[in-house]
Amino acid sequence: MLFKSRQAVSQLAAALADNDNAVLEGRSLWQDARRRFFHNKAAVVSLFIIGLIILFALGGSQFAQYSYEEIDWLALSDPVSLGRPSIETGHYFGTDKLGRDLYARTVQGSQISLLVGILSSLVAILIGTLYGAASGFIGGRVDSFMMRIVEILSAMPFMFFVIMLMVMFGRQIILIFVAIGAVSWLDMARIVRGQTLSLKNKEFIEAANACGVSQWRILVRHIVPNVLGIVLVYASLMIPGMIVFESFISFLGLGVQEPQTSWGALINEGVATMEIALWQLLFPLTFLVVTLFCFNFVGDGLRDALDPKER
Amino acid sequence: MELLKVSNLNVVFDTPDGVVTAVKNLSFSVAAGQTLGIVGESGSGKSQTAFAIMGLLASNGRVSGSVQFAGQELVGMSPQQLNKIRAEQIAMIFQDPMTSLNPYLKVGEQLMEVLTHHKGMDKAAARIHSIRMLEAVKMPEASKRMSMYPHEFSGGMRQRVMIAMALLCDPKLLIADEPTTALDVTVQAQIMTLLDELKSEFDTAIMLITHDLGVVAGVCDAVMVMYAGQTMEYGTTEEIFYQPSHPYTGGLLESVPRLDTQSETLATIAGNPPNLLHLPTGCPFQERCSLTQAVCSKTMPELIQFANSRQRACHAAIEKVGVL
Amino acid sequence: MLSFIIKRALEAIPTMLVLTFVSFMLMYLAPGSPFLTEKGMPPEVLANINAKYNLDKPLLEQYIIYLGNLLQGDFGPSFRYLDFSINDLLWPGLVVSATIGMWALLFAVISGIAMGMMAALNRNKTTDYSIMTIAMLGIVLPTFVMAPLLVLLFSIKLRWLPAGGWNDGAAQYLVLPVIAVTTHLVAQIARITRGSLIEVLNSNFIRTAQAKGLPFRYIIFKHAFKPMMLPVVSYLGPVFVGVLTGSVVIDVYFGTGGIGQHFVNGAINRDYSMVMGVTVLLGVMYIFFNAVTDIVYAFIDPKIRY
Repeated sequence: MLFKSRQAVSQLAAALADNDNAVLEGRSLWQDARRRFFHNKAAVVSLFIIGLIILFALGGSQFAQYSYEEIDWLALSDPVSLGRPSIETGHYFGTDKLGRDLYARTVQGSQISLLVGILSSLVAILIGTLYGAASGFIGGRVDSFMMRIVEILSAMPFMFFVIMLMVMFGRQIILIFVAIGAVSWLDMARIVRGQTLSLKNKEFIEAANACGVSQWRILVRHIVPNVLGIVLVYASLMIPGMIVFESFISFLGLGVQEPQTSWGALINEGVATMEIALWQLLFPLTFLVVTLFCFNFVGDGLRDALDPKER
Repeated sequence: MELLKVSNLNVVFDTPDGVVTAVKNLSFSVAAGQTLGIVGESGSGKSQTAFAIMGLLASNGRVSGSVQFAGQELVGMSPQQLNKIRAEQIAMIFQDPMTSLNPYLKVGEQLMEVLTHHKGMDKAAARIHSIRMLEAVKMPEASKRMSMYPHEFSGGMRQRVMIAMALLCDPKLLIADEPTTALDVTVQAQIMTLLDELKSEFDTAIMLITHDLGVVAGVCDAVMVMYAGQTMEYGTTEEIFYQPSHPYTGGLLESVPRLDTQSETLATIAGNPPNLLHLPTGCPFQERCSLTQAVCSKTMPELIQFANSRQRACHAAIEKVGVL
Repeated sequence: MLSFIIKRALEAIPTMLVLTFVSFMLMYLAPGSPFLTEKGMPPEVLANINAKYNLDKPLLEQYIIYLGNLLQGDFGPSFRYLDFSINDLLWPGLVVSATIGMWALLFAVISGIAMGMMAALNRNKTTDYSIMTIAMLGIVLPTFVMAPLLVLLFSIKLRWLPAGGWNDGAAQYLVLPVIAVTTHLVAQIARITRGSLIEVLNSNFIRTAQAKGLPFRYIIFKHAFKPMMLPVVSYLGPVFVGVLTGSVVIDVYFGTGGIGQHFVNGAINRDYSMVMGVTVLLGVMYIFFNAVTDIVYAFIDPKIRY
């Protein structure tokens, strides 16, 4: 029976394709979303710029004349004039207040910031999606218990816990990942659970149930792909949040350990000297702000593409 | 006397995919006290016609043509002037009583505000009048219900509230946009009976938009059948039901399930309504019609008048259509 | 309604227990005793504090004593400034943070809602685009970027306003911190309001109100305002505490002496009781205001049953 109806559908599709009314043909959600996303110029340009920044972080050190921890004693002797950004000295972005090459440090800081942003988002999304999907899918008492835990956890002032952890157990980059990731999965879990719950009551899931499809298969084939859209949108908005959080901790002087650095740490140093050496603030600031903007535009673009009702 | 006269009405929407023609060259009129049924499938432009008359089209919609109400031109009227027409002259009931009432305001407030705005009544007078109107639509415990929120009402009760709200200012024309579609069958009948009673009580003309031929048969004086935003056929209810002159009407009538004939399958009209983005040249119904001829795909049949006031737009000869 | 409030209050209790317990455990597990590592601390002071903190007693008992003190509003003594209790340090800080927060919030709510409504009502026109561009800026720029940029412009270049300090909350000392805090809030509120109003205006009941011939302005304020505010209120609930208790960045950067400054100093100085005091105080306030938001929400939305 299934075969027959599939044949009918493909016949219909063929008939429609022959017809002028090709618009009637069912485009899949993802095709439709991709089309809408690529129509959004701001989002596409932003995606491109993010790509450039990632390239910069990965390969930028090839062009650096100095390493990020090397001190240029000459520049240190007069940081305001000799430490200026210049092509001739090889300090494209100038030097920091200790005479270290700011270009190399920005490359290194970009690595850390992007790594923290992407990895901790991955951690958060993985935990959050699994937890939320499980909670919503199992339902009943388990669900209310699991959500109660989320509720209690989300009442915790985690920013303070993270800072407490950093102070007590030392400033380790791995700790930043774990701490930030572990904090941020809560929202994700809640969103995915809500989505799963509403999907579970949809007709096509009931139909799959009625046909005797196994629970695991329903979860993998029907629930997860349908939740994916919202997860993607959330991820694109979460990464900049994570970058900001790491930068914030570094800005307070509690983040990455010297001589390693991050955008936040560089901004923190730049702020201290902005009266005399503005470039020390502006270069890392530009990288941070441009990245944040781009991620925001991409996130907006994805949301509009996947949920067109807003427009 | 013509109360409402619509001539050459066009409604188009600008969408990202192109211009959608929802209503095309539509002309009809409603006389005072008359009940006109407008019948068609979803997407045939019935509701958009009503919204165009009321000036309630979505912001990407454009209207051209003329809508005359009691001699006044409504198309292009300023919102302030239109607000004097709405509720006082023309009132409207919507399809979905669940979402058409404001869930955050008490029902009483939503009724009274019509009177305080249009009749300049004070709150006390408006309250008394509103309760009286709720009683007129057979709402039990009307005064108690005034201070309740819409979600505390059942669907049928909400539609009664909508009807009461529409009739508060004694409008001359009531546009009912699928008033019973979202309701249970038993409640549907109650609401239609109520509308029928109120029609004579308030001496209101009604423009009843529906896809349910059974509803039309009960209450309408005349029927206009629409397809893809155009008139297919117009006539009195009896004429339409007993001598349909258009194959589409025939198809619609055939697809009403009947108890008196034994039939294995439910008759349907094959195919789907045309894409309003790219209307085919010629008759929009050609692809689904059982009487298609070569000419159908070339020119749109004109809407011609025959047998006094009847109208039809079809290339096929009338004799061929006699379906029933 | 009363039973809803009581139920909501009871729900907060386990959350508070977890909060205090986690904070307590973190402090307990912190490597090294804050007292033993202090060099040159006289033994009598050490004994004094040990007695004060009941550090000789079993863990659970310590926790219960701590809880008991908390219930009386006593956060215990500072580990760092031995003559002060946490309360002595925290309350003035809270006043500073709350002053900045209240101004920022007031400004944000009024201008954010106004901007959002203006954008929604002029949708896809120049007004909309310019408001939303500004909002985008406010959302994307983090506070620790905003604050230095403001100082650079208004204090260093223009020399209009002081770059930091508090001076008992004199107006010119308030301006920059308030702006730095409020920008993000204005932007968020404007964006939420815009989206919410657009959605409300598309709903069927607004069309009904229009069909009733009511003036547009009346429809906006009588019919659309309340549902429009629902997402704004649920956004404001958790944000409220955050703003009221100040922004760590603002307190540190402008040196206002707010709670955030105490917290960071406490963290750097290993003043665990201070850090824990701030954490618990903020956690309790957060839980409290979340409950308040739920209750306010129930007042606005008649569909929520209490």
